[in-house]
Amino acid sequence: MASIVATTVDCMRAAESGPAFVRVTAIRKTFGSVPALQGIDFDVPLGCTVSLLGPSGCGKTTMLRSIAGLETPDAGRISIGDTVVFDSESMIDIPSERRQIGMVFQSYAVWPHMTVGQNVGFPLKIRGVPIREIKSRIHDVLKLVGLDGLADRPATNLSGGQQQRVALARAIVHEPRLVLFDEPLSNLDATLRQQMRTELKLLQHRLGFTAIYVTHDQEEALALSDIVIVMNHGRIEAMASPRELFTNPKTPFVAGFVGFDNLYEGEIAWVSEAGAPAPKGHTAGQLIGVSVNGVSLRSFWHGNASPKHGMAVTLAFRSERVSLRPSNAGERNGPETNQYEGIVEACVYLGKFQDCIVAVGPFHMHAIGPGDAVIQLGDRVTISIRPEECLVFARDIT
Amino acid sequence: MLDANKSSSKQWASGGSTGSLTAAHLQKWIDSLRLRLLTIGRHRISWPSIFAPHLLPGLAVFIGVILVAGPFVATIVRSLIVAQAGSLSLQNFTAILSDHRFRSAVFNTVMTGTGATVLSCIFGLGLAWIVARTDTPGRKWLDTLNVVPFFLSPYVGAMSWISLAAPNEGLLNHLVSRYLSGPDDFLNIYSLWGVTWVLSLFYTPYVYLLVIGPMRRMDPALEDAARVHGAGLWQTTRYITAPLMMPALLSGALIVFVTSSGLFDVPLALASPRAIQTVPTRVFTLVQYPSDYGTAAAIGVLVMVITVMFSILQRVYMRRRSFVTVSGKGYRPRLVRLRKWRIAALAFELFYIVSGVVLPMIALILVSVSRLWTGWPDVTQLTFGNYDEILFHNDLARRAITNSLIVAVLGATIGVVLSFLQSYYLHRGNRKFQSILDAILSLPLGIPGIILGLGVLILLIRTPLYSTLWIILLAYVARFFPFSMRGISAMLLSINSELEESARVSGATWLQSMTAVLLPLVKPGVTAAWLMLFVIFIRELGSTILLYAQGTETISVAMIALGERDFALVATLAMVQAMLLGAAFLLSRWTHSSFVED
Repeated sequence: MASIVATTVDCMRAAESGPAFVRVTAIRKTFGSVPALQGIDFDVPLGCTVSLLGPSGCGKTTMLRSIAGLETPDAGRISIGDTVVFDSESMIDIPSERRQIGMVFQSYAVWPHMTVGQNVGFPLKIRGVPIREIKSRIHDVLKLVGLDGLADRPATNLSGGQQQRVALARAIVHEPRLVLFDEPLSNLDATLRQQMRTELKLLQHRLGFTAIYVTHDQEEALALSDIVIVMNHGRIEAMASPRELFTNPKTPFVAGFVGFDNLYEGEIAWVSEAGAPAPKGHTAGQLIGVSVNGVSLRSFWHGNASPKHGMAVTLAFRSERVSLRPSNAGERNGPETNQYEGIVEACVYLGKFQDCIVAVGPFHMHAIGPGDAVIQLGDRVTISIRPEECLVFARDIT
Repeated sequence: MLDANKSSSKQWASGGSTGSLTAAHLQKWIDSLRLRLLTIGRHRISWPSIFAPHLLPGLAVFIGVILVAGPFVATIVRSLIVAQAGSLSLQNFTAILSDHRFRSAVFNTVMTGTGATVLSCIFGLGLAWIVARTDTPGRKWLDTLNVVPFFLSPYVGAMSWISLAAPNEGLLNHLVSRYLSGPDDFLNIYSLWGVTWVLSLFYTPYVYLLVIGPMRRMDPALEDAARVHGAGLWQTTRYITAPLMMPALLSGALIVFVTSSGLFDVPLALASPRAIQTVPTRVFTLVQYPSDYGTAAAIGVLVMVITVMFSILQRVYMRRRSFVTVSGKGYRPRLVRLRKWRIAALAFELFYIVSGVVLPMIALILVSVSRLWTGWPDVTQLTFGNYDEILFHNDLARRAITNSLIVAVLGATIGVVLSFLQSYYLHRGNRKFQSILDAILSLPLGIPGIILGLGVLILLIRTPLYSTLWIILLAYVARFFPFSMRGISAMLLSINSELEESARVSGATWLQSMTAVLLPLVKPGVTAAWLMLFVIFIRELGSTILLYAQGTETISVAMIALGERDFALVATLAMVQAMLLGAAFLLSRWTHSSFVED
């Protein structure tokens, strides 16, 4: 296996224009009358990891299973490497076992009637690899995933984390060019999940396989992948690098999914004639005012169409970007910052910080306060959010 | 969102009816089939890899549907034909409804069925509670002994209870008259009471097995929560434990009522000698010369309708009311300390085991080693001649043993293969028609053997199959494959399909994924299903009685034939059958295969 260490930048560039290793074109799938996939297109460049991120029922697992050949789409085309593995037009549907892939299942699917070694060696045995070689490769791959010496252990005597490693070893032992992951970490506890996440990332870098990774956990997607594809209702909502996705989501749904927990519908109250200077690290945009239930917030417009007075928009910002402090603190921000007086309605102390809901007029705003400040219910507080932290999306009125 | 609206409105515009929807489905199906067919040419994919996953299971389902529908349809059609007129009418139905013999048979059936249901629920629930939830000593042994009657033939049970409680000649009656100077017809097994009693003993394990599962696996936290919130032991039982057990118990009660009412063996042995008839024996009488198939078929249709209604009732109830009481954690429910009541619990256990297993076996053994049975063991009459006769000389008995073994081994194998493939089709393959096919394939579950036998007889009487062993085999498989399908389906459902899928993704073909992964995993369930079918087939009488001919007698049929001449030979043959069943029982314990769906 040639080691191709692809960087996120390479992957993004390749996904947009370059050669694709996995190419998914116009995939549709309906279960009964429920549309699961409504025309999915994306490319996975060689050596890159792509995450399919979305809430449950968004079709991400169906998409992955279609690539694996475990589900037959109604229409579309999928190719892996030079091989078209599925094409509804020219009636091609190559069965799973001939797609030369590896896959880690959500339940691990470690066969309980086999030993660890038999589980891991299965793909090699099926391919008729000589027993001696199977043995040595089982040994190598178990060492790689940190299970050395456990080859003869019955697979049922393993902890969740170990089963996960067996599944992983089995998925890579035959050196597939493509490894599919179906929410592999969702059954592990939080600590183990973080550890496995890191190990998985290292392993992928070391072996350089191309990977498609399904998850509903945004952190996992950001941590593991070069490209994140956000899915919703069987469609692709966004496709971006983790950093881009996190800082600059393109739709309210994506924003909500990656942690913009303050989402409000409003309309544009005013548009500044002069272009405002963009703050450092942010792309320039037109300064606008958004009115949400009579409360006005300043923000920057990044949309394609020019902003107009009265336009329906959705405004989004993260609670951790809201600055919250007692009202009597006295210090004031400049007029360019959105600043309001509010009353604390609820507050959860979480050690490093506290998670509060603050009533500002008709609003109930999520805000993260510093852990050391004493904030109590009913306290008057000042909260502020910088305009560049507020994203504005044009909203279709239907 | 917009697109979805557009496409759906288009669909409404183009057809607007369900007709267009099914047409669209059909088109989709044809497309997918075309896809599969064309794939073969292009990629040189071997035929088995494309067709095996669909063809074999689909074929099994098709056979299953034919096996179910054939006898059903034949019975319905025959019930509408009036012999004399040769025309179609409901005359057969009006005739049976005004027939007082049929009405009294219905009355007797309902009485014995209800009695057996009540008694076996009391026994089953009590025994299960003692074994699963109390500290009664020897629970492990009791657990095994409680299910032994499940493996005995009800006909043999009835015969042995004749030796125990027949007026004037029963062992128990002799005991009473000898030592308590009571009358020697103190107990009369030839009565509806006798039928109810033997049915109850025989059906108790059904309730026991159904109830003990949930009782064992119940999360103790459910009860602890009630105790913590102020409920005493009685209130906890009343408001928590009992309602949680209710679905299993009611389901068991329904099963016992339907199957015990339809059982032919026991009323034949215990009620027919006193000219008391139940519905199954009435059907038997009607088919005997001069046979009246029309009337018998009409009764068959009525019984089928009632049985199907009951099983729908049970399904609906279970769907609504089956609780998840399992938390997945591996602790056992807390045991109730009985203290001095342990004696009472043990006595209850012993009463059942002695009545259901020990006494019948003692009676059988005594009768089978006596030259002449007079109702009391006599050392001077001791002989093994009966065994010699049955095993080495009596043609009928020897033939019957061979026939039973052939039918049981072949039938169990065919049944298990069929039901494995059917379960696979229903739970792994095409899910479109899953629930309707499942319902159709489950239809024979409660249908009395004699009614199904009647259906098979009507269907095949004019074919060369009639009067061969194959017609019996066919009836057995048709009536009992749903039993093994239930068990194997449960097993299949408990196996995550990702286990096979990961084999496919690892490069295994469908057949390889079957042999390497799925079959080894379902082996315990398949073994259990095979043994269950074997046991049922060895002892089955109801579906055989109308289908056997000279030369194709089974053990149970031979017992009836011998019973007209020599009771000792019947007991001996019954012992042989009991040994075969005992072997199956030991095998099931040895392979740790459980008959109940876990």
